[in-house]
Amino acid sequence: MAYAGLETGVKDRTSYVLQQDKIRLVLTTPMTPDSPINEHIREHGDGVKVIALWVPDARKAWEETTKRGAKSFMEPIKEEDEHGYVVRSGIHTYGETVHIFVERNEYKGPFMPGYRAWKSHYNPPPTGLKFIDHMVGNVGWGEMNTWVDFYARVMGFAQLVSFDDKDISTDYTALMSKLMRTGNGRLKFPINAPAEGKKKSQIEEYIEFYNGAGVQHIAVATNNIIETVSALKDRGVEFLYVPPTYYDDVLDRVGEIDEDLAVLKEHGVLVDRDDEGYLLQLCTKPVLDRPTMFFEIIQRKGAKSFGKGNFKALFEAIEREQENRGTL
Amino acid sequence: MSTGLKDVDYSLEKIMQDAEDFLPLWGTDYVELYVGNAKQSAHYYKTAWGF
Ligand SMILES: [Fe+2]
Repeated sequence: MAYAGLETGVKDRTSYVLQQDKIRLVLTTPMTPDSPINEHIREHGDGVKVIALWVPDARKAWEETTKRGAKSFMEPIKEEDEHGYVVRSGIHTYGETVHIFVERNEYKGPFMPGYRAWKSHYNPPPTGLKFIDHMVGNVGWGEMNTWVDFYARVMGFAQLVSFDDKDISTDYTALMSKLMRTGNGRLKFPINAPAEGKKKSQIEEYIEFYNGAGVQHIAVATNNIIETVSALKDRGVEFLYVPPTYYDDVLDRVGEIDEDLAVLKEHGVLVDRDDEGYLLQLCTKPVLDRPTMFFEIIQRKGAKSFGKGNFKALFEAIEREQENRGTL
Repeated sequence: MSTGLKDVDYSLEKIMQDAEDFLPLWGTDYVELYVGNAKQSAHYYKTAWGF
């Protein structure tokens, strides 16, 4: 969709902007040995650096959040080109991850100043991904409250649900999870932290390989999970294995659903519910060599939050992978 | 689960109004990954994911 690099006069990095419906991914690589991006990759491997948030006023967002205790990453900066202007500012969040506030009401260009439109003869069809439903951060031992507090106090989020280690445990591992959400529901940021278990949890595995806190998964929404997952599998995306026994009692847990259970079973799609409805979800294996970041595909059927019914199935699926990696 | 969703949604109204005041957030603008080879990552996200 857009590109910045040597051809646009940028010498220290190259960035590609990709889009599918409302989801925009920016992939950035360093071009010189002294770029700080190298250090990030050396520490963490490939991973999410920026969760950019669309705001009406990036200057005010920076002032209000830094006033409330956020550490500044980037002071407000206004950039212009022939398409208009964009104002950006940034603050730090968990680990080395940052939030950049983007004000783009007065911008009509392909992405933002400094980027040019990127056209390619190769444009594979989309897979039905619509928008980012939620993004999960893994934080270290004892850091849960710090970051829940950060999103509440600095960002004005509210805690929607909380799952403790009794809700989220298998025979071997445990963790805690708290869902932080904006009042308008457009941003959902669950925070995970490790809890005591007999073996090493996936959160600890993540923290070890990522060298600290960071984004564990990006959940992308679809209107048809079966079509999306089939397309992704055909194109080589690998999903976690869900044992057929998961489906033995799933309808007792979630009640009636529109989908054919046999089809969900064939694709390993999990079903869960909250007070308002149900949801269908499925996680990929890590998309990197380090067992760090992965994606989740989610389709909501009334549920606005999360249930706790799938944690066990998901974790046991991940534990099987950990076993193979020797990291359990 | 610590609280029923309905109770939380009720109190959210107030929190939301406060938050809307000091930090209105309209959504995710983009997600940026630092990667070892952006050209090849871009190819992966186009081919496998349909971006
Ligand atoms: Fe998720």
